[in-house]
Amino acid sequence: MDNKKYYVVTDVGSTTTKAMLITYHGERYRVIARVDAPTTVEEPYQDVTLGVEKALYELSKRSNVKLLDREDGLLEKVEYYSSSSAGGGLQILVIGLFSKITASSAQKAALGAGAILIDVISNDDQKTLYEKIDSINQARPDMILLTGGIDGGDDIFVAEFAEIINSANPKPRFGDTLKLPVVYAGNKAAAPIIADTLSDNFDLHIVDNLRPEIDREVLEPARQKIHELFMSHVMQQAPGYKKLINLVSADILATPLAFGNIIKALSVEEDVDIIAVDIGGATTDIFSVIDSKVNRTVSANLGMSYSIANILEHTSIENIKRWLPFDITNDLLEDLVGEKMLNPTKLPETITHLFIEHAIAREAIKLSIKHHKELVFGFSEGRGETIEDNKRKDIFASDDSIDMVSVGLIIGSGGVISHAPKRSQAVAILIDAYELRGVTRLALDKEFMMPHLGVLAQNHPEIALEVLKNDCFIPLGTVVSGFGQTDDRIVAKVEVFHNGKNHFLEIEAGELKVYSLKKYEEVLVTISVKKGIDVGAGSGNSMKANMFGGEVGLVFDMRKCKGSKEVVANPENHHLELTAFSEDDIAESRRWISEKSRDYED
Amino acid sequence: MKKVEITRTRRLPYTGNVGVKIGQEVNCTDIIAEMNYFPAYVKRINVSKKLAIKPSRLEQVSLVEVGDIVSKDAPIAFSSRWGDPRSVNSTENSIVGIISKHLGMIYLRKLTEFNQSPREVFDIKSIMGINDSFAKRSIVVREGQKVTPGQIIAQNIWKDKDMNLQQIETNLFGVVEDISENVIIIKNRLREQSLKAYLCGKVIDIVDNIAVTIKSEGTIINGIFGVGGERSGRIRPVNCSCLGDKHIKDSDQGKILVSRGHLGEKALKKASSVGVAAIVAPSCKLSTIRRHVDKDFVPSITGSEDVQVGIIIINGFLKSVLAEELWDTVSSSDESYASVNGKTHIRAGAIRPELIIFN
Repeated sequence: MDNKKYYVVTDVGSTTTKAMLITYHGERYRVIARVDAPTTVEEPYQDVTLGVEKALYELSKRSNVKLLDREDGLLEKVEYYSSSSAGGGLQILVIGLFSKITASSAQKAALGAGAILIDVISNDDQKTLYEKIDSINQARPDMILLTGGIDGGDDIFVAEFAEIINSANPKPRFGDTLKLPVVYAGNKAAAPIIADTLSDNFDLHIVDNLRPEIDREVLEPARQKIHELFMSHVMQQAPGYKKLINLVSADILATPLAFGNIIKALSVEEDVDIIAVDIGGATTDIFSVIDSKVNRTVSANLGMSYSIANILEHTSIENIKRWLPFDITNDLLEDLVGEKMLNPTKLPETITHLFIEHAIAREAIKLSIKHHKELVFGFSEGRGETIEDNKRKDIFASDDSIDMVSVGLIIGSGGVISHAPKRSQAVAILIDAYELRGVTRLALDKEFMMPHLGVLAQNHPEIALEVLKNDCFIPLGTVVSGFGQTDDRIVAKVEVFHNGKNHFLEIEAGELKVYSLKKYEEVLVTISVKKGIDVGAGSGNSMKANMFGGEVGLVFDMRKCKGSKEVVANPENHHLELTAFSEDDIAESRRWISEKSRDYED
Repeated sequence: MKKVEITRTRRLPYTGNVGVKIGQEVNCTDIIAEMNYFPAYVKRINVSKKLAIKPSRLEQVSLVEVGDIVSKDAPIAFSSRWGDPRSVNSTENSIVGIISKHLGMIYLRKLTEFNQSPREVFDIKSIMGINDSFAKRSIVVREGQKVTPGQIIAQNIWKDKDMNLQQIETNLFGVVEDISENVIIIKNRLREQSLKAYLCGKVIDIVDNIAVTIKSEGTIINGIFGVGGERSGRIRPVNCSCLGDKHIKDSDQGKILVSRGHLGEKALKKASSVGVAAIVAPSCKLSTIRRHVDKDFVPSITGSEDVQVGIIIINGFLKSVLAEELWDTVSSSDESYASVNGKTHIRAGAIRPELIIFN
């Protein structure tokens, strides 16, 4: 008799339901089977559980473990969990008084609850009243988050917004006949006015002001209410979710919320700040866990296919070209990028296309991180709540609002990183995009399993973390990034104690070197640096630390040790040292460009 | 390529007059409906202040309800409190949008007559009779800003014997195209008063004052990218490896040219000067399209460009030729009526441009 407990977890996406089966096997908890099934939320099925059921049968077949009974459904030995982003996830319309203050706090609350923002409307967004009414009328959100005013402050603007919402009469995305949920998290003095204006026509919920004072944010009550409404209202309307809710052993979480849950658990356990990126076709999500606080932003128009041309517009063509080891005219580069946007599902056809995609991915992540810093750590954070926050504000006052020295782990996911033909290419993208400082581990979530583990962590955090570290992550290695200025050519001397021997490396300013160290290998590394150079231990201070290997190994990146703030790119050397691309790859791309350029000679 | 049955509902953005009947045959170039006016700028009327009453009393003194149409100077609220009869009048021909008892205000949405002027030009200095620096300070809009009819674009307050208020309003649904030397130029972005049939076929349904449904038969060819909205006209196929200016004739005015080869910049310039309605081609460089549109745009959502010649690209930006089957269909359709729509949404709903041939 099999007495083992089995944990089935699904992430119901818009097109695919990804399922995994976890159990105790071979001395630890592990994923014993993974399957994908089509999501059945749309017509003709309109019942999400059909896709889930199919996924469970496939899991049973693949693992040879009976999970379902035709009569009784899930067997007693099975616990089932799920996250969901089907039908476009949780879509929220955010309304606040000022874009940099309450509307910004409201965005954070909504994004932190795993939502997709369909619009952010504020008093200073330069839309006319007429355009605001039209925008609200045309939106089909799952709910509205209305904020505005500090407690006891001005109530006129927020009252006007309530009138505008009433007048615009927006309808919910699901269930035309139902009242659209509105969460009010603004000036508490205005709450009676809001209730009087909106409670007849909307499903109004009043929670604590998320900005009770100009320099204090209280996001949790609004986040919590959004999540509750997601479960009780939005999920109940989505086809088949009522049945699904009865099957799960804990709340169904919006996929991004589940993702945030697991990285927070990891950050707490490992006592390290984490930044994660999920770079998709249309959007790039950035999650950060800084001092155990999870932050999430979605850069809605920075993605690698549908919105790839926006990246060109937001950065510059020269910024893309700096990562390419060949010359290319602006016209040809723009046409190649434009073609990718027109054919969003097409994979790179040639090595040249791959070079270009990877160059753009670097800039997309850079822009998304900038957006993340502005939204999460910008003006709206105010003075902060603690002395530590205030210290951090001093750091934010400089160019870098996240202290990258404290970030110990970078996680990459999304097609361009996960499906890069070589892991070293993923490493190259991540280290160039993030502008790391000090010692940072890099990992890949290849199959995007983190949402599954985030939802499981609601009841079983230890199991989720064990599986995360062993089955979900692909360790890429550890990067030591130096910065600062010195007159010396050699900026760092490195001693790696590996296989019972000391290995020595000398690294010049502007240079990047790799020491090969396999997955799960751990070595003691001693780094001596020149005066003016910092590898995370303070300027001129040496460092001794245990470091972990990975698909690429140890990377010593001293490209910023020339007094230059930007990474100094020498794409050719850099690609070759990381073995991201070969000399043949570079030669082939140059030949291809030369051939295509002939069409542009007129 | 096969002919298919096509049914489309053609809808005015705001109510107007429908000029066809059910069962009527229409050509794609026929006008089937027209707008008269549409709701525009919202004005707030602070009734409680004007009548010296509490906002909560607004509903008792209001003479109108939400949705009412009121003409200019018509009373919208009246109070005779303390034996002092006072009324508040509408400032414009409007629709009542909001009556807020919390704010004590009535919101009126101005009804605007249709305006086909391509641009409005306001020389603020000369209209207001003020000096350069005062004119500069009076401008309250910025380049690129969208404006609606009735919106104030410049205002100032000055004092001689009394306080004087000067305001200038735009009459367009437009965008501020340029502000230099205190001259504001506003470009109209809602110029089409009439709605064309777009399809050659029969009217099968009408929704009074707003929509017409037409059933048709034709060959639909989807492109991958386009600019410019709907155009209709006769087709002329052009068999060439690269469409140049020598291929464009004066008789091509109003026509839809379909090129077998790449669309070059010189052809596009000549087509603009001749008045060609649209060009369909396998490819055209993005930089050429950008210069044609006169905008350094990111081509993910298109269709509203103000261009003489609409463009439909079938394959992409890199040089190519039309597929054999497609060219066969086009080349046998010389002088047939056709419609094109360059509207492209790479994301939301993935709308791609189209060429419909009726023959």
